[in-house]
Amino acid sequence: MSIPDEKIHPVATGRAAETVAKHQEPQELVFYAGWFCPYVQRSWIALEEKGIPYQYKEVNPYKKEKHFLEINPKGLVPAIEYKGKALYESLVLCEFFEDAFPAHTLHLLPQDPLERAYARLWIDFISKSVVPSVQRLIQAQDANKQREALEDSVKALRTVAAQVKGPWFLGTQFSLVDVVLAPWIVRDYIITEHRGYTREAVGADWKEYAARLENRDSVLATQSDKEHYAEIYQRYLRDEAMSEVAKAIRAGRPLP
Amino acid sequence: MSNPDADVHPVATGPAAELVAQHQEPQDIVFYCGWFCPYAARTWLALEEKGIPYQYKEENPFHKDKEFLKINPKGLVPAIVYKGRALYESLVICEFLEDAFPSTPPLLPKDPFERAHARLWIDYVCKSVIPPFQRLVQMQEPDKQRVELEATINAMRTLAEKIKGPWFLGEQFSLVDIVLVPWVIRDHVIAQYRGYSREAVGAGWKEYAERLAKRESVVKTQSFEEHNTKIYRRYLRDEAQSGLAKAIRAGLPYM
Repeated sequence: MSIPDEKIHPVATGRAAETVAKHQEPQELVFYAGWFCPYVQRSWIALEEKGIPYQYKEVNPYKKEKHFLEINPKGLVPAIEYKGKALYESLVLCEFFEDAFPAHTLHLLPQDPLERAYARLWIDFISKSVVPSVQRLIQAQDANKQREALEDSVKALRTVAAQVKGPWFLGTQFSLVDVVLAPWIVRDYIITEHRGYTREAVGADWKEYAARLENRDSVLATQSDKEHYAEIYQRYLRDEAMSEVAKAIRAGRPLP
Repeated sequence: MSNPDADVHPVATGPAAELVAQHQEPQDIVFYCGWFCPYAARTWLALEEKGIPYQYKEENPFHKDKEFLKINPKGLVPAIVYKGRALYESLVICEFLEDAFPSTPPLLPKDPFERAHARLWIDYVCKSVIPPFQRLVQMQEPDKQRVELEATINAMRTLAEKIKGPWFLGEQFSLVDIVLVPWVIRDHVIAQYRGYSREAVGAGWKEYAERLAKRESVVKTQSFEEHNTKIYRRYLRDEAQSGLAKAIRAGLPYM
């Protein structure tokens, strides 16, 4: 029996479709992506920011095709094939792009070891504290759980907001910290419309930063038309989604 | 009411105590450690393997000392202060040591792809080995314990099949070995109380585990086993109040 999540729109649309069309030539780096996936978007934004040549291949992670499982046994996107060798995990990929393509700027992490560590600290905080609380908020059905998850999400975002130096997280340098936040910021309208979240609740500076980030060209270039996301997030809002992330949230397990 | 977890033996003992005594001089790196903490151990092992000078300061993460909270608002170990700047999160510190001390023995491959591959396996240990291991310790119901035992053994077997030997990546002892060691040397807890055995993992795991336990840096950072028992008992009864124990209970990610 096929799982309902398979019936998502099969291809990128809007600006993202244009980006996909520009990346169909074979390249040393093949980027396996799901147009709708926030984790994919992290790596996709990084590739766009750095101007690394890549060939984009759409994968449906809920319909695990054999060749793709050979690339990533977990069957999850994002994944890459680089000079014939496979790699996955969005943050591992982002770090790999920094290491393997030193001539491709932007450098998305500071060169100074302490500053680099500081950026990684906040990337870690976002992955461990922001993303899980926002996911829980989306999937929570019970009013008390929603209230709790909303509080946790706003609290976590306020902690991040307090560190934003402006215009970007680290200051003048746009970095991976902004990149890992972007996919959840561009999806926050879901929790605004359905869970009582507002950017204002986090802080006035946050609202400005979020607006700046969602209008960054690499972010816009990896966004599909809004209406196609609805089919997906409706399932999350009803807690019926069958992604590994959704299952982990339901089971009270760490995210994959 | 004070946290009963705070009532742990206050200092390192045995070989670790000697090592601590050798690291009391002020240095560029001040290392805040809990002698019993498996996460702090990662950083301690990295410092020792790389031969980086450090000043060791014992910090009980349950005390939440005001001065320490200025260094790490979470009040957790490990933490370091380097040239006046504070840093925490064990893996962030380990990566920092790689970046900041390039002429010391590397704990990650230099080749970008191999480096990424190592990070993938570090991620696997953190997401697939440690959580079921911890849940196995903390779960009280036998049927839940059975599920976690299987998950722990399966995850270790996946790793075991990838070990190039003598260390995970082959000749190079690396951060992949380092993130595993603190749990491997505590596996006697799940062997004694939860039905685990190294033999059950197969694929050379037992031999690899024994090699890890004998590594010089591992031996030198060990305290006497008797002081750990009180700590394990609380985890086994699921009464521990550490950030890790609570995260496991709540199903949240941790380090």
